[in-house]
Amino acid sequence: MTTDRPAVLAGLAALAAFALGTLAVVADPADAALAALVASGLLVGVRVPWGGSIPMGVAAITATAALRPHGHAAAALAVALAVGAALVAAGNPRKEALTIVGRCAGSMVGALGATLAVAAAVDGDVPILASAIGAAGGAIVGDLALSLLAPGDGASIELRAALPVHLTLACAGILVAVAVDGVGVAMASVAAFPLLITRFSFDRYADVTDTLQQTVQALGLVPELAGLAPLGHSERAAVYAEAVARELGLGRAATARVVTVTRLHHIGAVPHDPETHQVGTSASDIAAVGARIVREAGMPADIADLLATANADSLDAVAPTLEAAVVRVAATFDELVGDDPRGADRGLAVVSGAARDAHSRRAAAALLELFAADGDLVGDAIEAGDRFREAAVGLDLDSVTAGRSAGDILPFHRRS
Amino acid sequence: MRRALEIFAAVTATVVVVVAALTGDAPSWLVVIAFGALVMLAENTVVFVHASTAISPSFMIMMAAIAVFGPSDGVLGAALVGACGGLYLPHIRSRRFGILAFNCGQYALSSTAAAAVYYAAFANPGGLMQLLAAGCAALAFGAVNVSLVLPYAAKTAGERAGVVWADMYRALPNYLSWGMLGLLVGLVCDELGALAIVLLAVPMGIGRWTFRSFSRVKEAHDASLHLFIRLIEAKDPYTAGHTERVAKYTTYIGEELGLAPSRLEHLRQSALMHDIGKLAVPGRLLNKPGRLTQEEWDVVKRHNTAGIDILANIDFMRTMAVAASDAHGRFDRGAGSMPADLLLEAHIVAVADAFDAMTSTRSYRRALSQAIAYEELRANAGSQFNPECVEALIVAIERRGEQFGAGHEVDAHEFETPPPVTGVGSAGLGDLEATP
Repeated sequence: MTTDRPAVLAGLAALAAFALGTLAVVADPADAALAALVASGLLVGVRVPWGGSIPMGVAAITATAALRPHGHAAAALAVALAVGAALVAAGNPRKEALTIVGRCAGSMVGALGATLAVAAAVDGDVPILASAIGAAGGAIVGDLALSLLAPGDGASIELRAALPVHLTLACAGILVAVAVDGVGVAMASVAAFPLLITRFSFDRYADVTDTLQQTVQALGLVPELAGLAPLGHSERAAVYAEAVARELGLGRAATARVVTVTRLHHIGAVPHDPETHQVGTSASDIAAVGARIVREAGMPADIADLLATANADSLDAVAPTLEAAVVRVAATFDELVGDDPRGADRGLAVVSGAARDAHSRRAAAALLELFAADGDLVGDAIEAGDRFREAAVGLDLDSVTAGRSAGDILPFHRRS
Repeated sequence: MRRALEIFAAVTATVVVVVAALTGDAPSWLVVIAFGALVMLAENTVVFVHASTAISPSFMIMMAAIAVFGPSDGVLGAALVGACGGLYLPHIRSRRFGILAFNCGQYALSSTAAAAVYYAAFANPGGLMQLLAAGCAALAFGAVNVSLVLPYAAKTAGERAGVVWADMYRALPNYLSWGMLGLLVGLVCDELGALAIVLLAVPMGIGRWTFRSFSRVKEAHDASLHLFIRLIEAKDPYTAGHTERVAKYTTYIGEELGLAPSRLEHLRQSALMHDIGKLAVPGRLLNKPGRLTQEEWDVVKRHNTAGIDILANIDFMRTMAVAASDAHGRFDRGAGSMPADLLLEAHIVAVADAFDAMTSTRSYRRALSQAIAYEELRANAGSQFNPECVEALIVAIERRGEQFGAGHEVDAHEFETPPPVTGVGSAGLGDLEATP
């Protein structure tokens, strides 16, 4: 289907103007103004580190619910949701748009519900501060409740990572409500400044997090380009590592660390010193050399430590931490399976059988669990690895290492 | 000079306080003490974050105090609350009374200026006038603060005022907005009470936390790039130092062409990564003494291109890989679907790469002289090389009076069999090219 996007947007804008105009006539110009603020706020998200975003409109939802009489607030929010939903749908893939709109609806219901509850609990006039705090709390609870229900991973967020963003938005919303009530709209607009700075700083943070992950992804390819591991190995192992880490309920920071280290687990096999051309030769050597060069390069100590203890290529060693066990299970499993899904059962059996300590058993059990729940994890992993293979067609990357015997370097379970 | 500024700030502030006490009402001492204590607390807990994101909570609290006081008692109140901003404990402990006097004085004066402007401009409450008055007050605070602190800081650091200013002016929009926010909080202080502090402190605390996390991840990213570059250099020890030099030349060209700092940074990273394709090239060919056969050259070229293509599957690497690709570096190859700024980067890297290849000793020939390298670049300008980049490089090197090439090589590689003296290389991997 080919659509003319500017025309669609113009149509939507006209509809939005009509809806807001109607609201201004039947209800109040203030409602229309707040609805416009909420609707445009739905379009601008503050990015949460490690994925997902929270619309800045949540602050405006808080202010609207706190400032207007319940009926007016409900009407304004309903119109804002309709207008905002159309605009969000025009600019986002369907699934993501659905999640964003659903979560905003959750915030709206939460905020309105909370102000109603506050009004019911207080006799007589409700102080604006009480209803603003109620609305802010309701909006956060509503958003989090809906984001837990949200299907898939696209726009979902993690509670701990989202809380700082939510708190900032709540503070701004409360301040706007109290200031509009006590000082006037013009001066209250000042309360939006911290929002802009918040958005900028969270954005920058999320950006650099993404870039770091991509550079690590590229670093993971280096041993493969050098013929020290099959092309796509680090990418596939990273898919398994992430899935297992999630299954075990590790937080986003820990999951990111596990994925990073899984991607880097062969880096110690790459010659890194132009003088000596020194490389790690045994599994524990590769881990130790990898940890050393990662540390020397100035990467965070937790990455280097995990790399040293993960000992990713040796099944016999004891995993000192759960994170180390996840790295090892993911890396070993991919070494056994590679790009052939038929190897999955054997891989599972070997990995489970070799698990000697409690951490490794938990990680292996999580992998088994994943297979029971979703059979196509291997397919997803192979697809992730395959995107690098097209560019390598016709190359003999093994020849890159010719002159040294590649077999000595890695205790690799190559499939015949 | 410093002493004079200290005396000036302290004496002027004292005069202002005396005049305000004689002409105006006395402010509520409870409010003065409460806000003064808050200002002092804020000043002593704040850790400097970053020039453009530095937020001074004490400044916001001074502005809030101005809104809490009224026109009759506000000037004196603002001066007293402001003066508390100078009470920095480490200065008190180390008995640095000069700087204490200066800071108390300059904060008192800044705060007084803001209060005076706010009360004068803001006759009847509400509406846009109030917003305007708040903006002017924040500006007045900034103007007095900067004009006192700038010469003082410049003297202390031994730098020209212009240099210090270049660091400071980026933060001004932030200051303006945070100052107005402080006033707003002061205006709603009656309703909010102590919660006002929470509403200010939470976003600021989170802002600081975000910035620190950002810095940590940024450091990790720089480190991972560094590791990448190290792995590339280890792959091809004959060109050790090569990437660093190419990065230097690209920066010369970029500066000469007037690129923005952020682009220069990206350009530098791209230059450091320009040999990523070599990661996929068999080491025995890269390090083979003498010229390659046609067959070997084909393998090198194919692996180099494939290495770049494989890495270009990663978004962030794609912008780097473009600069690495010989196909994009050639000036007469045209842009295709490439964004213009990335194309320019590829052109710049190609010229820098060629210049370094010619002016350093390789396994098959000795380094050429700088004059011959210039000649060669100019001869191929318009076809292989972007003429603007060629001229920019030559101008930049000549202006610095630097010498590269034969007789001026830094960390030249020692070869077992000395390379022949003749032969003219060309760009990048062209260096390894089979006999033409």
